[in-house]
Amino acid sequence: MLSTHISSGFDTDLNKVFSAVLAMGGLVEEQLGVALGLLLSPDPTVVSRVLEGERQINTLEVSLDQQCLAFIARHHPAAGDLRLILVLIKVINDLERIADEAEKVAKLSGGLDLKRVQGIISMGALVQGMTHDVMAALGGLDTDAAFTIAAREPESDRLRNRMQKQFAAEEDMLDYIWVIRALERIADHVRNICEYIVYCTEGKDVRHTDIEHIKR
Amino acid sequence: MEGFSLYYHATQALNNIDLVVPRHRVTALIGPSGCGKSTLLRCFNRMNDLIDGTHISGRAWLDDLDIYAAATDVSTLRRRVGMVFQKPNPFPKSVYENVAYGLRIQGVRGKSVLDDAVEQALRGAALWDEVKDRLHDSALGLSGGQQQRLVVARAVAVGPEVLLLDEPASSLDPLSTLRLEELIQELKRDYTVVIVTHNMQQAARLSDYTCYMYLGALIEFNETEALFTNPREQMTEDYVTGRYG
Repeated sequence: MLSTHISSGFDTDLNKVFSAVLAMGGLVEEQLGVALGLLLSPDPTVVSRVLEGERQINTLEVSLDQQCLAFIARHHPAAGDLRLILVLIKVINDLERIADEAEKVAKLSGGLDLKRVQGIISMGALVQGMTHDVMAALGGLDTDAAFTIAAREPESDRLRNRMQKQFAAEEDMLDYIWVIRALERIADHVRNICEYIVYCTEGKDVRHTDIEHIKR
Repeated sequence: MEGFSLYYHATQALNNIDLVVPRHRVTALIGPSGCGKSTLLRCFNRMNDLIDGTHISGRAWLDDLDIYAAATDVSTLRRRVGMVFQKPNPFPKSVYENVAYGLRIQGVRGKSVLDDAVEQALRGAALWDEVKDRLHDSALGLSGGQQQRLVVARAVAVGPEVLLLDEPASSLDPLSTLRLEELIQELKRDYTVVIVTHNMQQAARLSDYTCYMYLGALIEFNETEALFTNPREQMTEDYVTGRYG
């Protein structure tokens, strides 16, 4: 994907950090998948596993940030390489936050009756798909895919609004609201990663810009 | 510069350069060895005239002065456009005489006038505090970093408008290099500075604008921050990232 650097040590170290961030993405995806599975089949043992996974991801966040800093200190990257390492640092942060939201979903899973709320499962599937696809887009630094994935984020807002309207007349729905908010936040983090991919590949900072405007 | 090309006999060393050097800013020239950056630097004060077989086409201007016009007085041009070379080259004279040299050639004679000018130039080159008690010692006894700042003082003493620096830190240790870079930042308040450097981090640290050159052509001129974070040209990207292919 990246063209060859004159210093093979540069490529080795950069690819090592890049691969480690993609692997972290794989762990986060797994956490999210397990947390969403708990909504359908609550199981305290599996919740403990998610909590343990979350601790591992926190440790990984610290270690990967350190690797990125060491890379900058050692290699002084510029231009596209500088943007990539900066983006990886930001992606690490968003992945850790996605894992936090997955942990919230797992913790709340025991007290929910999904028959009461239409749409949580659809919303879970939406954000799970977005999370998977954004990691693939990051791996390939695929700008087109990033645009396509980011365009799915408003759907999570729509689902959240629809469900919150549904809850307005009901009592004891706080846990449902927390789960829906967690899922909606995950979609926001995925969109952030899409924006970082565009910055990395195009050199354009598109944060706080709507998708149609970005494409123009 | 407008459509400026330079040839050594039949060999073209600079190819159709269009460039406006911003006043009171530091402009860095970067590029691989042999790309023409030192040649371009030397065009600003016609140092290339000293090489046999050199001829040019196009125009180069210093404000309204046509640098290569037949009527242009080269000595006056070089007083307006000073130069500092890669290796410190103080004269084998005292610190004081090194700085006063150019002024004496210009006919300045009064001792107090010279004393003031020497002190001002040494202060301007951030060297005064280190040498004020040894002004009449040999300049060759100074460290490499001090010698290079002395050469800067010698250049600024005659009141140039532009300072050309040809890899001025390449023979200095890291601390002397940083001190010189600090000085260059100060100098841009009073002078327009053009610097050739092989050290891309140095260009990124101290320049406001950067030119990337390749095979005698100017590939990209851009604000330094943009050139090192998001260059316009793929060739620049490949060079500043150290990538090829």
